[in-house]
Amino acid sequence: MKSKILYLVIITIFMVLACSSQKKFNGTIYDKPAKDFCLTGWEEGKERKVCLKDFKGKVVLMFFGYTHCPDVCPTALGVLAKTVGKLEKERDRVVVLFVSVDPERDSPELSQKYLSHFGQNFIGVTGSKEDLDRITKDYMAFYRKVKGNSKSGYLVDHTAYIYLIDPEGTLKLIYSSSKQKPDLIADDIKRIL
Amino acid sequence: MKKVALMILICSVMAFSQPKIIVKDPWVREVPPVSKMSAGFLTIINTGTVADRLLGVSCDASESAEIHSMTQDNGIMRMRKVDSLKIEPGKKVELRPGGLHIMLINLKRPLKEGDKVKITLTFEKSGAITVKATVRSMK
Ligand SMILES: [Cu+2]
Repeated sequence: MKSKILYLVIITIFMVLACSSQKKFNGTIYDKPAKDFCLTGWEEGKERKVCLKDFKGKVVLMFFGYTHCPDVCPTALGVLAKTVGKLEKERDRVVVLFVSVDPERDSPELSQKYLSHFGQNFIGVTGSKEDLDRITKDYMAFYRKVKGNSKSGYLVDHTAYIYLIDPEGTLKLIYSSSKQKPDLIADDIKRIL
Repeated sequence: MKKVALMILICSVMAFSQPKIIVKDPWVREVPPVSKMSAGFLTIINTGTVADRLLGVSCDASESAEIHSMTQDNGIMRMRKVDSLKIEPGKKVELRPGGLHIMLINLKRPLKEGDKVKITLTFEKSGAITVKATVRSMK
């Protein structure tokens, strides 16, 4: 009888240990190397080349969007601004990278000026259609120009995931729109950094 | 005498079978000053006994405004222009982030948190209703 109880206690301890060591992330785990790419950004009045690998050692939060987007993109950027706001010492090691998939209307300068509104370390980049097609494919993202009767010009259908790339350059986590909450993302960042 | 009674009856029925539209909680999203687009959100309630239809929108802060829908399928966000919006009696229609919105196109001035903008909704039966929407920051 005594040995049975001891056995149960040991099992319980093991289970508790197993659970606590297996920290769960809020985003969906992807855990594969993030494919590098280079696009065009804007800094101090001129265009500059920006590559994903430039941010090694930092957490990169990446989003594909366009500045004519009135709802989804500002919402996601607002969430990321709040996320960064929840960090303390980790803040300097986090970069938000917004890739505009609408280079016809979004120059690197406009993309950067749009992003600067949301905070420091918010970087806006864009590039040629060929580059963007390749990069979005690498990241399982999708975008498509849609001609409609809207006075805003064409509309852009697009996926709205937030990607978390860790300091080693691993595409660690992906957040679908239901998981795009400042608390959840900030939690994961604190765990990683 | 009977005729008069009938007339009164018809008139009173006509008077009662009308939509009654209430517009609640209007707000507009603050966007970076370089942005020419924003979105307005509000709730339309019809407390009347017949349906009404939102036919158009306008805003004093933008050159034009449209009713837009947003749908998500397989993670892809699709925004589309909607010609009109039916408001059933006793029902409410919410325009909110991630769904229906009033697309503000070509902003005439940058929208800053706390600013007020006027949004006019034109209904088929209820006519024009103007509300003051507050600009809200997303940060
Ligand atoms: Cu829209």
